Amino acid sequence: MTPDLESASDDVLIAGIAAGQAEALTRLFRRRQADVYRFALHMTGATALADDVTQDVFLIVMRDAARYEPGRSSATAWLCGIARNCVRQRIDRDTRLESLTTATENDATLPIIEPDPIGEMSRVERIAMLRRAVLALPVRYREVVVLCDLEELTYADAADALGCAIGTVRSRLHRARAMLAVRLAAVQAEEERKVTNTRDRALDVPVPQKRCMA
Amino acid sequence: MTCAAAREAILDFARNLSVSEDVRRAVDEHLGVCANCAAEFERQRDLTAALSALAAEAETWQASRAIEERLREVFIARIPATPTPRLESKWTDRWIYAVATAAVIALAVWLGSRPSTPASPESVASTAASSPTSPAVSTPSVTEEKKPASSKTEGNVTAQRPVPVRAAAGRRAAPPKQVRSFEFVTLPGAAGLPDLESGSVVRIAVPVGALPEYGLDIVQGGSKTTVNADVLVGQDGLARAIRLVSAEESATQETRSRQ
Repeated sequence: MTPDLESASDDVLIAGIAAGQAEALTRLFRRRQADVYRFALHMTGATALADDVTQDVFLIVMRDAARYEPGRSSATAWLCGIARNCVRQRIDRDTRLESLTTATENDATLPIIEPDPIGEMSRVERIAMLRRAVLALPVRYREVVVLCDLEELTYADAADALGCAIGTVRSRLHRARAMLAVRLAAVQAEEERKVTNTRDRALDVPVPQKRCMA
Repeated sequence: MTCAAAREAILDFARNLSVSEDVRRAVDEHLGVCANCAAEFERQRDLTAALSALAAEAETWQASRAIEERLREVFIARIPATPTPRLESKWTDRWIYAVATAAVIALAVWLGSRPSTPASPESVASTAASSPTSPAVSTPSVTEEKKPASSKTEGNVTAQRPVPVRAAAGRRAAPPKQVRSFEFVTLPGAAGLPDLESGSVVRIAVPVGALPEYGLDIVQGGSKTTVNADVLVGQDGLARAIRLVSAEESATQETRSRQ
């Protein structure tokens, strides 16, 4: 690996890719593949799809590196924007994911509920449940949560990745978090109902009597 | 601060984004007096903590290692297609055609100015031998099977012709009895030209009757029929050498071009 490429900025690496430098592509991939993969996996919930999206993103980078505009946004935002388009194309092609998305689209109108749904759960359960809740969000709300809360992009970078205004990002994020709270509360209520039922059934089971052998 | 304004600021506040001190103070004051907004703030703060935990878990996620190698292979495979090779570009082709046309015209003019008596092979050989530094011999960029001039035997007419070059790679060596006709012969007018630095080989049709002018053998056919010949054109667009193309070689190249 060329030493100057190791410390080169993302912008320099993208320019190197445009100039046909294979090492620049390798360096950018190693530096940014995890960002793209995480975004894709948060968005799709499937590792194979996330791999495909990651590969598609860097194939597009090869093709469109010369069109990248340094300074307009961060390279991560640019890559996430490409990944977002790839994910949307995949979702459009994949009926399973599409049905999942449309089935939850109406949840955007649900109100915020008061109970705290995540206070009592264990950490692992909470993370698994939250991941499912994020996946169940409609795509346009899922995108902002993943970009802003999970990938920690700024509002400006998220807006650039999504091709919308900063105000739109903020309003969508506000809405998405409200929907997440609703979903977490619903899951929490379901979990509590299951626990209650299990406890009730356990109490109803007759205790076997010991036989007297004497 | 109203509840609507507070809810707007609570999002950034709960997400640990930097907010101005004025906003922070106003939100704190509002949360102290509004239970609903305070509950909303707590909910948003817990959600941020949960999302941060999910983000932390995702820090270890990595794409498949095989992708990097696949991408690299694709990228390297694309690289040759991007820059246009110097001798294969559209403009270079046009340049070659223009030069070839000029060479043919120059050849025709030169033939017209020559006496009608065919020159003997010896005279052609002596003419060629008089220019030992002929450009055709020192042709690094065009010659792909260049033979050293010292390998030629003195006294042999072909050996005295300083153009032992092949125009293209992969061609078979001509049979010994045809060597004289199918190797490059320096054109008489090329003796005083600058050294050949680069060039191209252009195929033309030459009347059989004109072949003796170059010391080339006429095997058969009338003087009005034509045969294929390769003309070596230098970097300056001037013809340096010529050679006949065997019928077998012509047929082979036509087959390749069809394929």
